[in-house]
Amino acid sequence: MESRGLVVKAKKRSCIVITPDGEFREIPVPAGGTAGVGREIPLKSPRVFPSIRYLTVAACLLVFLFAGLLSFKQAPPAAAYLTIDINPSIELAVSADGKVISARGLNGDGERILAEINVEKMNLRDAVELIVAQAVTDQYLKEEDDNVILATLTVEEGAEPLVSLDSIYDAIKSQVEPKNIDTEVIIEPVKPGLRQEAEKSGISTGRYFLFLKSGEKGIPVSVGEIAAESLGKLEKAKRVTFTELFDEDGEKVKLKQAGDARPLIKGIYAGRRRENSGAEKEGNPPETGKQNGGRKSGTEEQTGKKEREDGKDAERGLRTERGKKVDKNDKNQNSGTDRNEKIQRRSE
Amino acid sequence: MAREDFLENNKPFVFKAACKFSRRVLEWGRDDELAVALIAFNEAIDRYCEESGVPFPAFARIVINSRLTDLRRRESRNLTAGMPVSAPEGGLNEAEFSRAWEIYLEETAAGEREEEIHEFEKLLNDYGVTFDDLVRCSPRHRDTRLSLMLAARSLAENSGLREEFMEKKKLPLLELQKNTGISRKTLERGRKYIIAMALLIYRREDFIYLSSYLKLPSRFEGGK
Repeated sequence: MESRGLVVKAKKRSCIVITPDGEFREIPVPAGGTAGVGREIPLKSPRVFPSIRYLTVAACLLVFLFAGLLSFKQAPPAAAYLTIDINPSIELAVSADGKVISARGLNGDGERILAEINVEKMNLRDAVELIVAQAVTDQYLKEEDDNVILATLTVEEGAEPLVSLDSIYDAIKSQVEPKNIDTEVIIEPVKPGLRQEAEKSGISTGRYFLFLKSGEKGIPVSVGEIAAESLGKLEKAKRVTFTELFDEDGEKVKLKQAGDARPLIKGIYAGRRRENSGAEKEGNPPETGKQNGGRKSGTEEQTGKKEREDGKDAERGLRTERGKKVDKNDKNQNSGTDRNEKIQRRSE
Repeated sequence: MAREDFLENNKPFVFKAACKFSRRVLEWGRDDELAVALIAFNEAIDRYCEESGVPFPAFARIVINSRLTDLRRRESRNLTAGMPVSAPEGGLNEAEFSRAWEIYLEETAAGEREEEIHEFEKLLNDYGVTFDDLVRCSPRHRDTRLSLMLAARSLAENSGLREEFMEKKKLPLLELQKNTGISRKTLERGRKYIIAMALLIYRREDFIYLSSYLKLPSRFEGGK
């Protein structure tokens, strides 16, 4: 008797029944049976509705959970990888919307930097700024050193780079320039395949790329050397300028200087404005000099005088007082006027 | 004698059923219908079997009605031959007769039950209650239902409260709270349920099927 009810009202799909112990319930019309008023029908399972409802909820939860797990597994489809080599080498995995998914240090210094900052979920540009800023704070980039920042960004063949190389360049410059740290900046788009090869060799993509380039140019360098040394030191030791190494094709820079639309796929190769080890570069043919930043070094007094004449460059004057040599040429587009002035000065 | 007492006690029921069938006010000792109805009621006591699923009062009423139908036919057509219900000897064997009676009983009971439920629904609607409301507010806990049932009963059986209730069509919650000791909150939540149950208890003779289905205390006890 407990599981039966007297139909008191019939609706289209359900009916209201009253159970012998006085409960009113709305239940679905039993399959096949017609539920006329006054009929006694079995209540298949008490509270059919709630159980179905709970089942639905449970099923939904399961689906969500499952979907969640799946998406977790498929989560880091990094659209691109950016490596930064100063001496600390860091690799950032970047999602399709330009956010940093994960960061890892590719050498001890890189790990040290990452221990101090967290760049995950940041915009790539902000992340690069933060890393460079931290490198400055930690004295990896010093005013008096020959600094090199080498960045690579994986770009699928035929595709546009995920973030424009210029924005990365700006990000780096925005951190080093105000601190009077002069650096050579190389930003190179690479194919994803290169990154995998680099990973096999256990060094950063940038360094691996450097290694390849050195090989092409016939500069004897071992993977070990490339991996261990800071780029600045390496440059000094091998007596090369990396910008030169990469930027074998002068066309790009000429285009850039002319303000034309530079093909995005080309890298950015910005030399230092000053060159401590300029003497080694003096032998370079003038064409390369044009491309890669001047290698001419004046004496302190000469440059100092010139700088002072140029009222605009008080800052630079300060630097020369401290005993720094100032180079006269500049690849940097951002300080184009500055450069022009200097070129003029050189021709004086 | 238990049976005589029982018959005596249920005379009002028989009277009511007969009057309803005849559609006029009858009088004991004057109208044949009442005598026939009482005999039929006695017969119903003998023949009632609980397994039929029809509550005894409803069963008795069906028997009374069929006997009164017989009487009317006899009178109008001057037929002496009995109808199947009373005269199994006319060619029909015992099994056929009882089968036919069962079908008749079932159909009649179903019809009456349906009618009764519709009537109850109408009555509830007069008090602003629908079956849907009852689905929503009928307590899920048996204990709560019982205590609400108790409240309904105390309302139905206290003539003062009942009249107030029927006039205003509103529950005298305060008095019920006093009488039953059930909290006002519970009473308020089960307001519609109490209304429905009180009406059903009070008019349980009109709603034979429903009240017997709910095992409400009935005046008919020990049918057999």
